[in-house]
Amino acid sequence: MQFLYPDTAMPFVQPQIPTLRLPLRVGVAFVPAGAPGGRGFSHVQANFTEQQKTDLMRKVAGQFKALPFVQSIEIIPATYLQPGGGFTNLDQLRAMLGIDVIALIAYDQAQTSTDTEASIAYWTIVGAYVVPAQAQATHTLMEAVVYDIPSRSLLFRAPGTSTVKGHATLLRNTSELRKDSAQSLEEAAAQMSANLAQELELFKVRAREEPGLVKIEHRPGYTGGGSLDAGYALLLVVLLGTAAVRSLNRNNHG
Amino acid sequence: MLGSPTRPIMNFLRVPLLLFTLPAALIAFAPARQELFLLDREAVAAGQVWRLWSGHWVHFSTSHLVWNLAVLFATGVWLERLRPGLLLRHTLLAAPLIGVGVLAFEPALQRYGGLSGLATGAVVLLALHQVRASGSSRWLWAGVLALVAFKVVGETQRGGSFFAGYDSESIRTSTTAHAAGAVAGLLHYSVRRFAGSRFLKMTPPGPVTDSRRQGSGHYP
Repeated sequence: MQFLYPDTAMPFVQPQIPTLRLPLRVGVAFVPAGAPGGRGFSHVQANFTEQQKTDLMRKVAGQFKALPFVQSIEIIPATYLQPGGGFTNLDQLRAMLGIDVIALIAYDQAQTSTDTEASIAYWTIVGAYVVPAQAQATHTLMEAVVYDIPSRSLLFRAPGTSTVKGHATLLRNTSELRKDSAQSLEEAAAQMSANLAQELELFKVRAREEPGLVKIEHRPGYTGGGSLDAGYALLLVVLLGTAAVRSLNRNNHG
Repeated sequence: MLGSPTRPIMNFLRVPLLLFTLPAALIAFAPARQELFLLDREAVAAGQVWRLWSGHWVHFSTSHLVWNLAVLFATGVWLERLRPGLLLRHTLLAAPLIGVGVLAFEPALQRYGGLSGLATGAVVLLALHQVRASGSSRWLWAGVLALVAFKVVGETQRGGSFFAGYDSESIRTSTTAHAAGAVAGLLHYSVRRFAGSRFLKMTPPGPVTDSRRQGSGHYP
């Protein structure tokens, strides 16, 4: 939200009914990192390396690529998006890369580390090395939102969450938190990918059943296929077969 | 049995096999040659009018081919059993009609392929014949006509299936082809029924009578 609507003083952009021109050209990008939060949680710059981000974007791109109505996928480098860039930034990407739809991936992670009763062992000094008296919790939220850029419409979103809890010694507190961060990001990414696949299927069904939700056009120069749906074809074959059997029975008895 | 001593079953299978199954299957196994047969707007405008017929043989995925052939083969066998030669005549007339209809009513369409338009027309033609001819199964054939009408009208209003399973992302189902096929079937039936044209009543030579070849059941 901070990326798309950075200035609360600006008038709200009313989204219109999106018009999707098939085949689609989709962009995938990570939202630039936002400001740190508060309220007792430590919002960490999570251990999400650029390589991991690229791997996740490739995975998301692969899910879109499997769709027959997607022509191309652009993985957009982080440097192309500005913090708080908003729809202006997306319009620039649309003009530069020719994309119609963009999948924005954002994540947030908060970690806590609190002393348990066993931390009394720290008085022995040795206890700080051997007693896992630090209770850790890592909460990660990752979300992919798919927007139609021209109409500013949210097409669908797919969340992924993860909570990793554990204990660590005082000495190893930081390193365990780093490991938990990486594990939590992976779990949230996996859940987000699974939900994204589900949401894509639901979107296809909704677009077909609710024409008011989205308008679909085809770009000039498309290829038309004369195709009978499997269900309809099967039904016709069954009806023809039934008529044939009735005709044969009539001929045999007649 | 579907066949009889005077009319072996191969007589009914021959035309659908040679007219649709074999060419469509051969082209499916030679995708590099598809461009020669595909109904292409610019190629037709340049004079390659054979594509109005050959374009129907081209398919873009296995399921596209299989389901079209399933319906057209079943309908074609029945039509051949009913009126030998009717399927061939219908195909010769309906194929260019469907092609022209698709090019005219979908101006953004550049290329077209698939047998579903012909399949729709053949089903309509068969069902109209059977509604008139058959007694107790009339309701069944009326149901077939209703199903086709529902499909064609529904597709036209909804704009077709946008997410059909083709092998390429730039292919969409042409609903105009189904509507044009249905119209072609209706027209063909109407002309046969009401115009009484001598040309359309001509049938291929049938079983020869009053000769030594009587009862052979084979065309000479």
